[in-house]
Amino acid sequence: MFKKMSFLIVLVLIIFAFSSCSVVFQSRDGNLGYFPQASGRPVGSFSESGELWFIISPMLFNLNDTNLKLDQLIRTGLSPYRADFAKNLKIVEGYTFVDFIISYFVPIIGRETITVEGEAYQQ
Amino acid sequence: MKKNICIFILFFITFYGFAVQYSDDYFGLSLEFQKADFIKNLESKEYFESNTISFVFTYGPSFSGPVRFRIGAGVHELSDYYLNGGIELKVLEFLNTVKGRVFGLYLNADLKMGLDYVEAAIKGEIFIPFSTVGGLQIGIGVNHNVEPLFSVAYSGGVYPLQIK
Repeated sequence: MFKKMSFLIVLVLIIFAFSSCSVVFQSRDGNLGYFPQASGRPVGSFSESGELWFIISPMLFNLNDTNLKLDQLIRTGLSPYRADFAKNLKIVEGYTFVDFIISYFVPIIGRETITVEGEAYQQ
Repeated sequence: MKKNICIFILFFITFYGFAVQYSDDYFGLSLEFQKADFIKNLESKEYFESNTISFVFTYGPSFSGPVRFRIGAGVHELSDYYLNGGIELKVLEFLNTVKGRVFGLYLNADLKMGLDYVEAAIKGEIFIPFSTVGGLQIGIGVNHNVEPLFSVAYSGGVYPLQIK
């Protein structure tokens, strides 16, 4: 009984420790690509961020799938320039100070922020 | 599939190349239960003696290196209130991809000062994560009366993301 309990506790600790350390990023609508050879005229740079809400871990119970909708963030960043595509994309995830406060005081529910930066190009 | 791989590669390039988006300053919060003279108290079954509960804010500015500053308040045996100040020395610390802590070893020196209660203590602590930014911090040490003490804290800390 004690062995089983110990095993279960260790398993839970491992899941909590490691599953919440990584997030998969992807596009949902199929319009996001990576074409470093594409040519065009740079029209500016953009930086867009979105909040990702989750329960326990983004890998377990992701509430709004921000990490899977990067194309929406990029499109929002491109629209003021009427740009056609983006280059030099930088994707960063982390906790702002507010995210940290929320995640600390409500341990089951967490919020993190994903930012996408890049250069907007017109063809 | 190709798209996902590309995004995955982009993310890792970003992670190593653009780490400047995270603050260089560390911010932490901790709700800490501490029991002093615990060996004698447990032997005499005085489970509710020499207990303190503290809430501590930890700030680690970039210029102070491995030293972080702790400030907070708490209550001793649920009756004597005090203010708490101290320093935390980061001995070993590993961070995850979002600049939260995965594992840590620390040395803490704290002074608790109230009208009816004063205690100075030094502790060694280990951090075990429960989530991306929080976990359990377990410590053992000694106070100014050379009494052994242990502490258990729900502790969280992060180098915050800076968004433009």
